[in-house]
Formats: sequence, structure tokens, C-alpha cells
Amino acid sequence: MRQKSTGFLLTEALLAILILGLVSSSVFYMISASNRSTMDAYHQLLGEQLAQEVIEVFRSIGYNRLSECHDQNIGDYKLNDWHPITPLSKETGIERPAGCAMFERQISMQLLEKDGINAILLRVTVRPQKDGFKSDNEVSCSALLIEQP
Amino acid sequence: MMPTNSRTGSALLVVMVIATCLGVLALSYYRVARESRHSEKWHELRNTAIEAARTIHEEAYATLFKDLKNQRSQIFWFLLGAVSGAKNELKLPFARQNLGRIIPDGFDCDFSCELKVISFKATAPDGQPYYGKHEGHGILAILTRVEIFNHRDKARVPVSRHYLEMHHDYLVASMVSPGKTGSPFKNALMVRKQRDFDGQNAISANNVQMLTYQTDAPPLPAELENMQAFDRFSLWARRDLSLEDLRRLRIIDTTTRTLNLNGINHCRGAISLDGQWQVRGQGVLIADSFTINDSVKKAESNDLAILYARRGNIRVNTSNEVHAALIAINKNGTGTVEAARALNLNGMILADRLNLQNWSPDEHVIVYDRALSDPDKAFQISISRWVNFRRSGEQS
Repeated sequence: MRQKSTGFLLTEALLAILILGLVSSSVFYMISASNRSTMDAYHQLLGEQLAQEVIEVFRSIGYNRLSECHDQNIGDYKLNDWHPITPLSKETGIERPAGCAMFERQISMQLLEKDGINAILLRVTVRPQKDGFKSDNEVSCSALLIEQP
Repeated sequence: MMPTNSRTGSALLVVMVIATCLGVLALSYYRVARESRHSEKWHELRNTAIEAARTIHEEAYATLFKDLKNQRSQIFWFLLGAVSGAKNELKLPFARQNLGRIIPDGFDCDFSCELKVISFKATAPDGQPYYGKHEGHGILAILTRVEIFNHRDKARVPVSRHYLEMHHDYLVASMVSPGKTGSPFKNALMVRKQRDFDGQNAISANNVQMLTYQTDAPPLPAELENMQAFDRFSLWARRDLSLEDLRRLRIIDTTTRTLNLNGINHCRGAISLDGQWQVRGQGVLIADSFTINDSVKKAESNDLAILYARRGNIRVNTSNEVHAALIAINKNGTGTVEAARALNLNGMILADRLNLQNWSPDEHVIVYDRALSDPDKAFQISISRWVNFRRSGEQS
């Protein structure tokens, strides 16, 4: 008479380990990908906020003053070149989220005219700096600022 | 017969249960992450729709401001006769051509812009009616709708929309300060305080014969002594401006030497017009006093300038043409117009007194401007740049 078995079969244990390993690794990958995606979304949102800030400030400055200085710097907003973003602007007093230091920003303006209506096409692009958060994502926002009477 | 083992397969079962739970949790997390990705795109498109709506509103306001200066424009005629609830579609060629520049690749947008008269009142705040049925003040809404579509797929699917409603006050006023009997400015020369017993101007000075003016004028109004002009303050487009404000608003454009007159504008201080000026538009400029040192000419025949000194005098130091109505009246009855050179005026004079002893001993000519006689041809519409109500959202 055989002795009564009290353990698992080797094949069963191996199969269980294999399945658990496969599921765990795929779950780990999925969670990691989701984490990356969530962080991307957060950074995208932050980037959009940093781009939108320029549009709001420039809209309040208005077409007339912007059109006079479209090749120069406006406050600490530099035109046409990539420049880093600081959490606190000394010139405008605008406070930004701490994470903004990871980004750099480029602002460009183009004068437009049609049927006596003058406007500035404002483009703001925000991207992560090379030594900061690794992502290829760029956020770009545009606005048309029309000359007001 | 195989030996029976109660634990056989139980490890596999436990692992399968754990794996299923992990899988479900991971899938849920993945779905949440994917949703946040989608909401990020939605957020971007929503911002784009908001920017597009603001651009459309800005163009609509700029168009409105420009067209209301033109009495032949469609918008002018729409607002002149509009009653509460009246609507008018606005064509915006700039937005039609350029809005695509701010829309992300793979998307396009439709928009509409409509004017709606929220209310219009033809009575002053004190309950007194204004002139006719056109003069009054109202609230105008600029209604903007933007819808962004995804056209990557074959179908054109709406993915974001935005609605923006902004209200502005507006005024409709005739520039000749009409009363119940129409324009009060029917004579070339009207003097409030120097009048004889039968209501005629009673100007006494040695050089009165040198003052020639309209001879076929109707009799002076009986109530001339107490006559007021532009006393409906609720129809004044701007009040208490400084000289700097007049320049900034380009009402007085010193670079082109142009008086851009539209509506009734009040300035505190004295205005001195040096050099040759031209008048564009129809309007009233109210100031403490005026000094005119050179010609003031209309750019077009239907332009109209009324210069009203509320505290001091109007002094004309030129023999060149002056195309303007000169009003110098005040509550003390001391307002006067004086000409230091031979006056060559195309317009009219309304003053408390004419101190002709201060006029130069030249021949002074006042030719009445017929544009002053018809209140219905002198309407101006002024729209406020301030927004007094704003509503925005995805749906109207």
C-alpha cells in the first residue's frame, strides 16, 4: 500500500509558479505603463497650464502693446527662444507649481491682417527639459489676439 | 486506481484566483489611466474651443465698434431700429480664415456669432422720454458658439463645444440734442441772454454790422433764454475724460490732426486746437473751454462737429474755415464765443452772450450748416467696451 501524499505535485507547483510569474509580470508591466501614462497626463496638464498662462498674460497686455514689441522680451517671457521656467516670476510675481522647473517654453508671435482686422497669432510650446523628466511630449497652445478699439 | 489527494490542484486554484484578482485590479487601474489620458485630450480641446470663442468675440466687438461709426452699415441700421429680442447674424471673415491656425491637427471647427438686443429703453432714468423712438439706451449681447469636430474617422464627430455670451451697454443718441420740436439748433446765431422784447438777438456793438449770418432763418425759439443742450447725461458716451484719455482713445488724434467724433464725449479741462485739423464722424466734444488756432474742416460732407464749452468760452484765433457748431452756455449765463480774427464759420453759434467789443474789427461770417437741423440724420450709436454680464459653458 502506498503512503498517503501530503504535498503538491512538482509539476503542479511549477505550473502555479509559472502562471503566478506570468500574471505578476504582466500586471507589473500594466501598472508601470499606467503609472507612466498617468504621469504623462499630469505633465501634459502642467505643460498646458504653463502655456495657457502666457496666453492669459499676453491677452491682458493686448494687441496694441504686443505689436510694438514683437521682437523683444516681454517681462520674463522671452520670444522665439527656448527658455527655462521658474516657479516664481520676479518681474510679474506669478507663482507656478514646483514641477514647472522641469519644463522649458518657447513663445512666438506672428502678425496677421484681414479686412482691416489686425491680430497676433500667439503660439506657446512647452516641453520637458533634457535633464529632467524623460518624455517626448510637447504641449502646444495657440491663440489669436485681435486688436481691440 | 490513482491515489486520491485532497490537496491536488488546490495550489493551482489559489494561484488562479490570485491571478484573476490581480488581473481585474490591473485592468481597472489601466482603464482609469486610459480615461485620464482621454480627459487630458478633452481638456486640450476644451481650452481650444474657449480660445476660439474668445477670438470670435473679440473680432465681433471690433467689427461692431468699427461698423457703428458708419451710418450706412447694416449693423448700424439693425441697432438703430432694434427692439428687445431682435437678433442679427454677424459675418466674421477673419475668424473664418484664421481660426484653423489654433485648432490641433486632425480637428476642425464650426462657429456662429449672433447679436441680440436684450433690452432697449427709449426713456431716461428720470422717466422722461428721449427724442423719437430711436434715441435711448440698451443692452446688446454677443452670442458665440464654437464646435470642434474630429475628422480623422470617416464620420465628423463633435468632440468639444463652447458657448460664450457677453453683454455690452449701448447708446443711441442724436448729436443735435433734439427736443419735442426737433433740433433746437435751427439758427446760425442764437444768443441766450442778450435778447430784446420780441425775442430777437439784441447784440450791441460798433462792429455788429460786420457780423453776417443766415438771413432766411426761422424765428428764434421763445424758450431760448432757458435753453439747455446735451443735458441728458445718460446719453453721453464718455464722461470725465482727461486730455490724455482723449488722445489715448484717439478722439483727438494728434498724429493725423483728426477729431474722431462719434457720440457725446466729455472732457475735463481746456482744449486747444493748434494747426490744421479735420473732423471725422458726427459727435459732440464737451470741455471747459476751447481755443481754435487754425482751420477745422470736415473730412466728408455728412461729418458733424459740435464743440460745447460748459464752463468757459470759445475763442477762435483764425480766419481760416471752421466747420463746427460752437456752443458756449453755462448755468451762470457767462458763456461766450469770441473771434480774434475774421470768423469764417460753417456751423452755428449758441452762446449766453456775444461780447462783440472783444471781436476783431473784421467781417465775420457764419454760414448755417443744414446738417444741424435734422436730428434723424445725426444719430450715433456708442457701444461700451465693458462687459456687464458674461456666461459661458458647453451648452447655451
